[in-house]
Amino acid sequence: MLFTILRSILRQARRQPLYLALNVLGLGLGMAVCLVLTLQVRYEYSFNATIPDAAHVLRLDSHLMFPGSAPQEYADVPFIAFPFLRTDFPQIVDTTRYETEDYQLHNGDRSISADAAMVDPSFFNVIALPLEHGDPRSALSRPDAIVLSADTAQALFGTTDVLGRTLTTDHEGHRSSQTVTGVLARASGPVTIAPDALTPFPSDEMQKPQFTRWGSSSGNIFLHLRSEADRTAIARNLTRFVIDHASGTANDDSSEGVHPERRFALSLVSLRETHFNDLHVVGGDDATDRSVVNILALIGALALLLAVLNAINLATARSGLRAREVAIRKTLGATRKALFVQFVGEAIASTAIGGALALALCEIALPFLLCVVLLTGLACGIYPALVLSSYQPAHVLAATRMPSGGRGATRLRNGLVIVQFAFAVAFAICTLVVNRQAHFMQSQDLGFARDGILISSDIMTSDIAKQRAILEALRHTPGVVSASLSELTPNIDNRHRFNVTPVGPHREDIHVLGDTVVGDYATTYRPRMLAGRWFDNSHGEDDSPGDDAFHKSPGKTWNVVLNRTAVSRLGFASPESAIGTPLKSGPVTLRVIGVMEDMRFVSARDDVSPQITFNSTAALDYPHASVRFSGVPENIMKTRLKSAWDPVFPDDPTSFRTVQDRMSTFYITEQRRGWLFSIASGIAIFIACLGLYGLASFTALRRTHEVGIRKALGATTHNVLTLMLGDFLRPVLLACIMAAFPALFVMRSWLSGFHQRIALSWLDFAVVVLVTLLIAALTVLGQTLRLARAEPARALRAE
Amino acid sequence: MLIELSHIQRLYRSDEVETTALHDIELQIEKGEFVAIMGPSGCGKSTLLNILGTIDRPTGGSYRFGEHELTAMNEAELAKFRREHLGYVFQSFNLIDELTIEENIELALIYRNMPKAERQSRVSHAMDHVGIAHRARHYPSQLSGGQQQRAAIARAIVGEPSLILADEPTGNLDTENGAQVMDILQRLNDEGATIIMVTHSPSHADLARRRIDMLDGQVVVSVRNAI
Repeated sequence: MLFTILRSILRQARRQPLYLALNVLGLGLGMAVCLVLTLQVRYEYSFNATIPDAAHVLRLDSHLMFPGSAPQEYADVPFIAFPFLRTDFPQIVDTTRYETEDYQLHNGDRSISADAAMVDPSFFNVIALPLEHGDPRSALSRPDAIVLSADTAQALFGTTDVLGRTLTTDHEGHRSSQTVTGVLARASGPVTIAPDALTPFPSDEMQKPQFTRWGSSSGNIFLHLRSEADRTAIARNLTRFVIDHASGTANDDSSEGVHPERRFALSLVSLRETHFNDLHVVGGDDATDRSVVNILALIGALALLLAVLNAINLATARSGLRAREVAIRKTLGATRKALFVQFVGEAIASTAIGGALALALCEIALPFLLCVVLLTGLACGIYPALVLSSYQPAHVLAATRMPSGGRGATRLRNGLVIVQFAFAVAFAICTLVVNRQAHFMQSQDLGFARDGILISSDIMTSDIAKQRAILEALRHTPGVVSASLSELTPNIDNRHRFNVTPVGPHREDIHVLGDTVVGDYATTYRPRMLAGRWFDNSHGEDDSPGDDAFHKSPGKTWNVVLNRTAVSRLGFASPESAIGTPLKSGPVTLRVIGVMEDMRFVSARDDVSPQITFNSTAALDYPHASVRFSGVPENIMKTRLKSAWDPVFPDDPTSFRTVQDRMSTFYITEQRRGWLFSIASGIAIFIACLGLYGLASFTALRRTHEVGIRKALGATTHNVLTLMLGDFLRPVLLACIMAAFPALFVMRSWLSGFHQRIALSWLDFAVVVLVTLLIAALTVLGQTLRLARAEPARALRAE
Repeated sequence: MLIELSHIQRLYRSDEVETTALHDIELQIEKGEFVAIMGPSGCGKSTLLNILGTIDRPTGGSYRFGEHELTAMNEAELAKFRREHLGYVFQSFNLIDELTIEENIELALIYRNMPKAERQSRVSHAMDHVGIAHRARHYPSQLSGGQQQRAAIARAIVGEPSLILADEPTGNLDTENGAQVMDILQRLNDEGATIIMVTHSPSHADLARRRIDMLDGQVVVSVRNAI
């Protein structure tokens, strides 16, 4: 049987190389895409899977809620909560705190920088990372203990067998000698908890103010539970926990005030979930967008499905050609079962050749290949084998024409073409919309003149002399038009928020984002003024004092500029009506002198916060320097700015980046998604076209006689061409219509996640349909033209 | 004179061989004639019929049809000529499997851009004429050979052609069905249709008004039957 199958495949290769090539190419491509994406998806879903009982190891996350702002989730929580957890929740098996810090590790003349985690001695009871050397029960019990990762041990000592060896640690200028009490085994899968070293918290660490106050972000707290039910029980009582322990008076700095539950909440996230969950969690793990991973899985499955449909389509279209072979085999005594096995065997053999191609395309996928080949081969072969093995030999041998399979087979083949193209068109619509949105996000109006601006990293000093020095140095750099310092810049990394209240009855607090600027900010960013004016140094009240002085200036009035969102949230009817209006922030009065358009420093996914901008002569809080330049190429300007920067901050080098560069992280996900959709639609359309081309080849063969009849009845080449193109393109058009609605629905729902988004248009659909029809028409044009030009007398003899 | 063939020649050339299918054919056919062409296999009967039906082109000579010189026409003009003047009946019926009998018959009119209502009326009339109306909605595979051939005749006459070409119309039929088909052709001829039929059956050839015998690509005998 195997010999028969191989001989049959070889015969196909010799006599119908096009069919075999289309089949193998389609299957190979489909399997390769499926295998590569399956491996990638499996990787993404297997984060922390190697950590024992990771599903029941939970991280306590905090949520801060401010009026006028969306709640924000943080992976860090105040450590002040730690001791109460065990007492309030008896379901907890064990807990540990976890705070990563930069350490310098020294062993003689070998030194390395390490990302070390300070933990409690109970760490291994909670997160049972396997040890290559050492006992997890005692590894962190000594105050001077340190557990190294295998790589760190190797780098420091040249070996991982280093139990009992000592090394010197340097943390925040504090040097100490520590003894290696364990070496972590190399993780056998992807993990989010992979410190270079683990060490117990120093005894004095917990006395630091950030560990003794609610509202501070101290570090992670992990809990180990027994069951999902325990998680549910704890989660249900976390609000009560916050009320019980975080309440205090309005002036109590260590508490969250009288109603802590209104601004602070806790939640639990399992270690198995953090890789996807942390996408929008501040201080979380490096996360992946689950929807992107799921799209990858879908693309993989669809690529294989399309390849299988392609193979079935080609095989059934070709079955008529093999009818005579079946008939002869049956007259010679072959049973239906034997023929069925042969045809399925041939399908698996073709798939195996495709598998070899797939292997070449993704050499790492060997473990799954056999399984994929077998399943794909069966999926491709069963139906065509059933059709072929059912032919009645007497009928086939008596007939002068090959069996076409009838209208049922035609419908099936058209159905398969519809399914293939429906997926292809759906992906194409998504591609178009995602790429349009990505482009829109990069080119949208940001409310300021984005081109020609270069921005430094944080200025890590509050020394006013230094801040002024850098401002002057930048201002006098050739090519610089203007320079300014500000706390907020595109891709905000430092947010300062506070409450303001419009003066008047029944007005509520709103939570606003504060920015303070120095220098020629208006010239640098060119914010669009909607009403009033920008700051002017000739007005005394335009210059507000620094943060500290600000709160110590009761009764004083400072001029501020609002953005459009702040005007709206504060309840003003128009930007003009806000001008001159006083606002209260604690004991200080703010007078609105101008309203500017919203300056979008955040992603298009996020809404712009209400913002109040101050002008200050005092030192700013970790400001950035921004310059507007002109007449100089960007790279030369960057070099000049660096030359101006380095003498002022010799120990704190910076690199100047453009607005586009700083905000590019906002678009990476969408760009990546657009790229994925482009690849997916490209593959889907390619496989669908392979199928259509194969189908057109066989249809041309099968319908030559029909064309002869039509021409004998007076049809012109044009008539036949129109008919055949119509027949080929009708299922494609139907596929377009079928795909459009789900694709547009999915895209509508995806776009709703953006605060700023494009409008969906029927033009998207029309463009995709036209392009798809054009591609499909070009695919079948050659075959159709040949068919339409057939000489009628010869065509009538064709069978 | 409806048809006038003069020095018609048909050569088939391949890389190595040149085959003469028709050699210097001279033939005239009057309007209203019923001509049977006979001869052994390979003598050129079907080639002659194909050339008469303009689905094959002669490699030499002249073919006049009424006022038209067909050898000078291009492909589009020939297609227009076929749909306006010719009706075909084939040995293997040549109905399109995917279309119903009604649709198969209508096909000949669709290429004339005839209004739907007129097409339906003509199709209905043609089906009645050959006794196939009760099978209008059936597919060819659901009909017997005789019924399929009657449908094919209906398709040939539905356009009221000047000439009906029949290529062994009874070749795939049993005696009874063959006789029925010949009856229909005779009736059509009596009603004024010009018919040229290729046949292997001497008895069917005798039913025509004229009989032409061919041998090795040439007309060797042309006799009028006494009817």
